[in-house]
Amino acid sequence: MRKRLLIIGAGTGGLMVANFVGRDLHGEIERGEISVTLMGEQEVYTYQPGFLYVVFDLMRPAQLIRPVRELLAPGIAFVHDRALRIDAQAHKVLRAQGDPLEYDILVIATGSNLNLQEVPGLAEGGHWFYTLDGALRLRDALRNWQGGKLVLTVGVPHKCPVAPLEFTMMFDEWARLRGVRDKTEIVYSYPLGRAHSIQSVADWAGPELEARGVRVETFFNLESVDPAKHVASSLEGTDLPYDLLVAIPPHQGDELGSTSHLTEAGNWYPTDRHALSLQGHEDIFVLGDATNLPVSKAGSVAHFEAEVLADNLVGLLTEGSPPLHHYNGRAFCFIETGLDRATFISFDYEHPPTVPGATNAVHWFKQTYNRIHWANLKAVM
Amino acid sequence: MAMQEPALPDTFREEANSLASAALASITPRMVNRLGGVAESTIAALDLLTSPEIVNLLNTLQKASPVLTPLLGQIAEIGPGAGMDGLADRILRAVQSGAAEVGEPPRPISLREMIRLLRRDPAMAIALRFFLGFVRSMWSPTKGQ
Repeated sequence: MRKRLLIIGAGTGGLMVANFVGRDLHGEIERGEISVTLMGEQEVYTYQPGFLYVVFDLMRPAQLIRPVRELLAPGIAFVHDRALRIDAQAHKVLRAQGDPLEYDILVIATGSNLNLQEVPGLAEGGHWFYTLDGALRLRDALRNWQGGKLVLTVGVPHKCPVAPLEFTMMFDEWARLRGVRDKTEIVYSYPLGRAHSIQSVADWAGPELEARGVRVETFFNLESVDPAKHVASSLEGTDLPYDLLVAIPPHQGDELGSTSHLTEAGNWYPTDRHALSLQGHEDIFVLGDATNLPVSKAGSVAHFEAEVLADNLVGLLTEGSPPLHHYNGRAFCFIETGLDRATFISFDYEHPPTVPGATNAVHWFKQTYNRIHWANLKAVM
Repeated sequence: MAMQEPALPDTFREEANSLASAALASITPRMVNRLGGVAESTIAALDLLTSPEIVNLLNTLQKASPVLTPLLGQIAEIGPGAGMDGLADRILRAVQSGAAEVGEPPRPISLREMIRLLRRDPAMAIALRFFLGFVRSMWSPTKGQ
């Protein structure tokens, strides 16, 4: 009897798992012994790390978007639809259009979404670069920037943990190159008592920001925004007037988890930190932003998890073997420290990162990766 | 006193070290497997395309079919030992000039029309199958596993 693997979510994690398994089990799929189906709400895949470059006119939106079907390995079916509810007992996923999809093994890779509603006034008074529309709106605002006070706020949790630092450092250099830095005040705020949640990154970032003349405002948890008065207010009672507010909005998991009664607070799926199985469900796995794991919500995490999960899925689909490969919390993040230099951090559950000095080479490595990400996604490389 | 090799500039060393460190920190077993597979396919395809047997075959086919002349003439120009840069482009341009030769004025043609024209001539069909086989050898999903 044919075994059915269903993957919900056509982002980085979902596409990579589908392609890794699809390529490994090419023969089984051709012979009809195994089916791999990817279900996605969007027909196009968007490379989200590119939004940061769109803001500074360093990449065009067209460079970040490709049709999902073009990214799938042969033999993988794509269902363009929204999953409404997972019926874990019946092994079915109900969807907005068409009959429910049945599965033997389910992978949830539904990512995370901005939760703008959590901060009153933010949608009206703020900018962000975590969506393509938002990045384009911020790009347009920067094109007209002649100076003033830019305030950056950080909501938690959020994906790409170093993006707030990257934006701040890139904006600083961008303003210098435009000749408006002396007319520009930059305020970097953070909800904790330091510049970043990871201690070693905070230790590195503090002096870097200070050297750039960036004011760091700690213990600033954005509570509300007054779009008319241009004031951002924190839970701690601090008011920050701004000319341009760039917010990292707090994120939450997809509502599919709550409608299926499978998630906990924030719509995050309780996930086994090594096997990546949904707790209490041996035939459901979770990866990427959707998990509740204490790791960064980043593309690299989805990638590393996808490799481990794919190896386990291949064993499960072909031999019924239990998960033999363990995810160790591995994460890797480039950190742009300006417009032509970058560094990186690499860490896992047991080993916190250190931050090496920034170089041109790492910046160009990142630029190269931005352009060959597709090969990675397709599991060609 | 032994001569010392000139030291690399610190900045270069720093750049190279940072790049190597970042690459090591980001690479995965599957990436290594796939890169190995791609490298093997590329080298094998280059070796095949530039072998004397293939060049001789192209020359023979070129003499056998007037329709093939523009196409194979350009491919054969690559010769043994040459790279693959622009190969697909050469083939497409050659097929377009082939289309003009069969009585139509020079014009851009679609891929579908190009394939129809190629299939019209048996020798062309062989060349097409050869080309598609080469493409498949480069991008087969089972390569490198």
